[in-house]
Order: sequence, then structure tokens, then C-alpha cells
Amino acid sequence: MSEALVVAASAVSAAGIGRPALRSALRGTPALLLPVESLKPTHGDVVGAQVPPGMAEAELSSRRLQGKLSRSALLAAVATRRALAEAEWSEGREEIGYFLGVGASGCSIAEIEAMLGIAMKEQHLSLGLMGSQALAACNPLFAFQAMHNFTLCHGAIAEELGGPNAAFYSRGAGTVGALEEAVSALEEQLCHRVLAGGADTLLHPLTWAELLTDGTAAPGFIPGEGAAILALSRSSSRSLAAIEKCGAYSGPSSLEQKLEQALADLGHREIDCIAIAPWGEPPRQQLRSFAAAQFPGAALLDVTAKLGECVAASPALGWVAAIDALLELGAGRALALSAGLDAELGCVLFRRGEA
Amino acid sequence: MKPTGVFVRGVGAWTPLGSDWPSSFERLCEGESAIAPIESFDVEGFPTRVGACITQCRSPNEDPRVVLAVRAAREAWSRAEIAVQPGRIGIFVGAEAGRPVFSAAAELAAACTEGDSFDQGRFARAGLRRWREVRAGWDSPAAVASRLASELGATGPVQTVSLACASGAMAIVAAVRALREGVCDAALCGGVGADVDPFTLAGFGLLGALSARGVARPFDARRDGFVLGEGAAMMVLARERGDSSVEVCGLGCSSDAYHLTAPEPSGAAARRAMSTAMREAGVDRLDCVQAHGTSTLLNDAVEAASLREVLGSNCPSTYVSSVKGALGHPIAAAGAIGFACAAQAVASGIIVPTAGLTSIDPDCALRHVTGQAVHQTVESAMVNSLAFGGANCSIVLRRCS
Repeated sequence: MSEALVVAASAVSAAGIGRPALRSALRGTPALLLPVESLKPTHGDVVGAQVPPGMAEAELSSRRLQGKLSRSALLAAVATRRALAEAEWSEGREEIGYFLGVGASGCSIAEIEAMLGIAMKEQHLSLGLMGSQALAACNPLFAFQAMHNFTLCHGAIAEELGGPNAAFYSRGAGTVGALEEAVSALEEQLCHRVLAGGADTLLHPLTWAELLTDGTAAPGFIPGEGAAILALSRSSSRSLAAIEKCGAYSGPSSLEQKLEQALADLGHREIDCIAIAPWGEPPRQQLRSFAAAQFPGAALLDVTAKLGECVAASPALGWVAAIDALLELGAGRALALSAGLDAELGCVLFRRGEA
Repeated sequence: MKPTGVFVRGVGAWTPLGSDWPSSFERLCEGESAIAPIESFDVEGFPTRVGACITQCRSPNEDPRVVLAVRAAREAWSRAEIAVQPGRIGIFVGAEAGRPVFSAAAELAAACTEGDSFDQGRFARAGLRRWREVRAGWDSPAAVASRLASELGATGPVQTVSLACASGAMAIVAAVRALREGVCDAALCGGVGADVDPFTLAGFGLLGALSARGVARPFDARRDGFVLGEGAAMMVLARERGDSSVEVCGLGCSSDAYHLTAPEPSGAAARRAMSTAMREAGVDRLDCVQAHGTSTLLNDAVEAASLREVLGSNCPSTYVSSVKGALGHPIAAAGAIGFACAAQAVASGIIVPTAGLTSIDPDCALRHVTGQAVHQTVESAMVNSLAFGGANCSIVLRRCS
């Protein structure tokens, strides 16, 4: 794999918007955990790591998009805008590629309420009423809010990104797959500039109901939301970092075996900082032990412990944390390790770029 | 990177016209259509009452997408007759969000309703009790790829592409790239869609995207929208040619960056995807194009104009067809079924007709295949996928001997 240069790295998380906010939450004061507004009507005071209310909305004032975005799409669009601004890519956007790891889009619960308010008759759901009237009470894009690429195409439309693109459904590893595709698109010269990242939220009533029923939402579990985007280029006079390795390790082997394989693929490297983004406690302990054993001097940043579980967004937040650490610590190499819901491992190695 | 050879080793499909690829292809060649009144739920009051359904794939406890994809995958794998180490097999699937079994969703809705109003508090309480039931037949998109990986014992890369109507085609693109880069030696790839349900029917109906007349007529002057379909098509692609006569040689992707539901009227981005794929393949003429051809007013006109421009003086000799007149629009499976048709055209020299096309819209003037299949040697073919949200994907295949 030839190197891809990281020209910009943006993050939206419970810490706020931008790398300084992310840095502050990871290395100092953790993000505030507050009762989640979107879960209050259905589930009461669930504490989570949410992007500060109103912050993302204030960043994206496009009239074309108002009222149409799912939460994930909004967060992705904000991170995308920030990455483009930092990269100073205001021209030639029709050739810029765009690859995202995405979770469920999730329509607003108010839409479901509006639909059922009309379709329910004497405690029975009337298909006739639903077909003829109830959906007319919803956002006309109701059907699209359930489609996963909704998270990607809003950002593409808002920022006029016309290059190769794809949304990968992600339970963690799909986001690393999106980065692999982006790097591949650069290598194959399908485009010379590309954005890659992930966006997701667990702070949706349906998602939370699911996490409750499958037992995931146990005490200590912190649901979160976020988005992070890297701007990549084959050549640039300045860069934050270079991607030396990028791989997703899937299949039935254990996380420990995948870590061994990743270590072999990394070769003998000096690594100064490791950002981990595991889903849940057992993978967290495995990633921590791996980091301590293999790279004992490396600084460790735990993204999901501080910013909550964000599924498709977590690996990408880890990349931004690793890159930021490179810059702030004046370090040489940083590693981002993620482990998603299916115990798939993501491994991305960054080398410090040229200022 | 110079493209390295990637070959089509096996094709499998379950469509509304047949439970395997040969039977589906045979009926497609006859110009048959699977579009019929929906009988699986009461469509009274809905904007359209027809679909191209596969009722046999539905059961209360299994996601229909998994049922469809597994059968198509088994067929493709068995036809490929390929021996590859498990760690060198990749799985690349185009799939969108699943749907709950509607009766379970309706029971949940009833449990959440006080009188005629939805009660969010009751939703939380009832949801916890009933959610497992609602979720029983409704897996995440990633579950399809995981299941296929277990079916084949594949331990190589696994990806799920969710790119609306371009999901299947883009999954094939991801597979080709992985093969070219040497990440795997064989890839099972394709797409699956099972969206003929009340939510999708009403949702697309609201957008005015569905045919009010209940007929899919791609490129026809009387077309008025698409008809929802469902199905799966899976391919085995490999770096080793074996006895394959079809090579995947050109990929092109772009984004309209214009509108959530409407194509960009100039077709600039669609043309960019097509011309990139043709340039990468090193061809300036094609024998046939398996068009996206949804039967919507704008999409067909934009795609036809884009094809005329991209093909230039070779346009009059290029046959064009779309399977959506026969199979409806199976969303995430659409590009994969189109790919199967294009690969079959290259392999066998048979180009399927566009069912429902009898009166060609002058805005869509192309060398359309109507009525019966065309038999002629096909050296190169292209398949297009132009998705809601503006993602465009084109793939060129060529005959190798």
C-alpha cells in the first residue's frame, strides 16, 4: 500500500466540535454525561454522551437540508464541512471522493408518532389509513430515513462532493473498510482527494430499546454519538499525518488472534501513542493489555471510555485522536485500534506528516 | 495501479421470475414480467398495489434477505467450482435496512397506543417486552454478509455496502478492488433486497416515485414510475480465470451531489461514472448496456441522454435493456441483477429485452431491446446503477478467450 496523506481531520463528539475539544476530553476533563434529550420521552433520564444540544444544528444552516436530516446525517455533514474547510478544498469538489462507515439512519420518533396517530384506530393499525393518510403526515423522505446511505448523501449534496463514493454499513469494522476503500481510490487514481470517516448515534429510542432488550445497556454502558472525517490526498505540500497501514481483520478468529496478526502486519515499529476505540469491556481490556505488552512506552487514549459508544463513528474518532496526539506530542507514529460489535479489529498506523 | 484480471466464475440468483439464475434468465429472455398484485398484505389505500414479490422467502423468524442471499450464494459458489483457502475468500454484499415483519410491528404499535394516540412512555415499556419479537425476523444489513461468510466458511474481508439502489453494484466494485489488490483470491459479491412491505410501498409512494398505473415501462413514453421488486443476485469473482469467459475490466463511480431523490438533470456525474469505467476498461464502444432504467420519468431520460453522449457515434450499434420492467426495482439487489445479465450477455451472446417497453420515448432514444432477446456476440458490456441520493456506479465487462 502506498501512503495516503491526511490533510485534515475533523471530529464531532460529546466533547464538542473540533480536535481541541476532542483532545481536552480524552486527556483531561471527560465529556459531560447528561440525560439524553432524545430518549427522555420514551426512556426517562438515560445518561449518555451527546453532542452538546444545538451545536451541530448551528453549524449547518443549509435551507436545502433543514428538517430532512437524521441525527447521523447531521453529524456527518458537520464533520465533513469542517474537514473540507481545514483542508482548504473549496475548489474542484466534483472530483472529491467520499467513503463513510454508517449505522442505522433512524427517523425522528416524532415522525413515527405522527404516522401512528393517524393509522391507529381502536388500538389496531389500519393499513388502509397508513397507506392513504398516515404517511402523508410524515416527512416525505420517511422511506429514505431508514436507508443507510442517507447519512452519506446529505453531506455529499451539501458540500457538492461528486467523486467516487460509498456508504459501508458498520458495526465498527465497516468504518475501517470505508477508509481502506478511500485509500484504494487514491491508489487507483480514481480521485486525487478523498474524505473518509464514520458517523453514528446510539441516542435514538429504537436503538436504545434494542440495546436494552439484548442486555447491552447494562449499568456503566455509555451510549454516545459522533462523527469523524479524514481528508486524504496522494500529494500535498503539508499534511497532518501519513497512513502507513490500514486494515480490518474480520472472520471467526478471536480478537487476540486478530491482534497477533495485526502486530505481524505492522512489523517492528516504534509507536508513541495508541488510541483505542473498543465496543464494551472485554475488548477494552484486551486492547489495553495488548498496548501495554507490545508498546509499553506508548501513551494510551481510550476514545469510547471517554466519549461513549458510537459504533460506526468510534473507529474514526480514534483516528482523529491518534493524529491529534501525533501533533500535540510531537510524536513519530500513532496507532488507532478499534474493535466493533462483532469483535472485528481495525488497525490504522499513522506517521507524523510534514507541516 | 494497472487493473489486474478479475473473472466472473459463477452467478446465482433468486428473482421473482425464478428461484435460480438459469430459470430467471430464461424467462427474462422471453420478455416475461413478474409484476403482479401484492397479496402478502392489504394494499387498500396504498399509492400502488403491485410489486414483483417473492413470497416464498418470507417466514416469521428469518430475515427474507438472508433467505434470498443464501440461496443465490450457494448457487453461485457451486457453479464457480473454485478451491480457495478460507482466509482468501472475501464477502461483499449490498444490503439496505431490513424491515420488521409487519404484523409484529403492528402489534407493537397497538401496544404503544392509548386510545388513538401514540404514547411514547408506553412505547418504552411495551417496546422492551415486544421488541425481541419485532426484531426476530429483521437483522441488520451486516447479518447478511456474516451469514454468507459462515455458509462458505470464509474468513477473508467482509463488507456490507448500503448505497440504496447502487448497493449491489458498489459491493461488486469493492470486491473487484479487493481482488486486484490481492486482499483475497475469490470474492462472493452481489446484492439483496426484500422491500415489498407497507412501509416502503407507502414511503416511495409518497415521493411519487412508484407507478400509479402499476406497470414498469423503462424508457417508454407512458412510464410513470417504478414498481418495487425483490430478489438477490450473487457472483463469485476470482483472480484465477478457470474456464470463465468474462472479465471485469472497468469500474466507475461518482456522486450527483445534487438531490436526495432526483437525478442531476445534465447527467454530468452519471456520464463521469460511465466514461471512467469505459476508460479503465480501454474500450470506446460497447455491444450492450444493462441500464439502471427504473421507469421513472427523470431517471430514464437522464440515463438515456448520458449514454448517447458517452457512447457517441457508437451509440446506434449498442443494445440497451433494463430488467426492471420484468423484475421491478429490487433496490439493493438491482445492480447485482443487472451485472448478472451483463455477464450472461458476454458469456452467451444473449441480451435480455426490456419488458413493458413498446413505445419508446423520443427523449430515451437508444437501440433498445424489446419483445424478445437479441442473440449476437458480445465483446463488451456495461451495467449502470444510478441510486437515490445520487450515487452512480458503472461496471464494464469484456469477453476473454
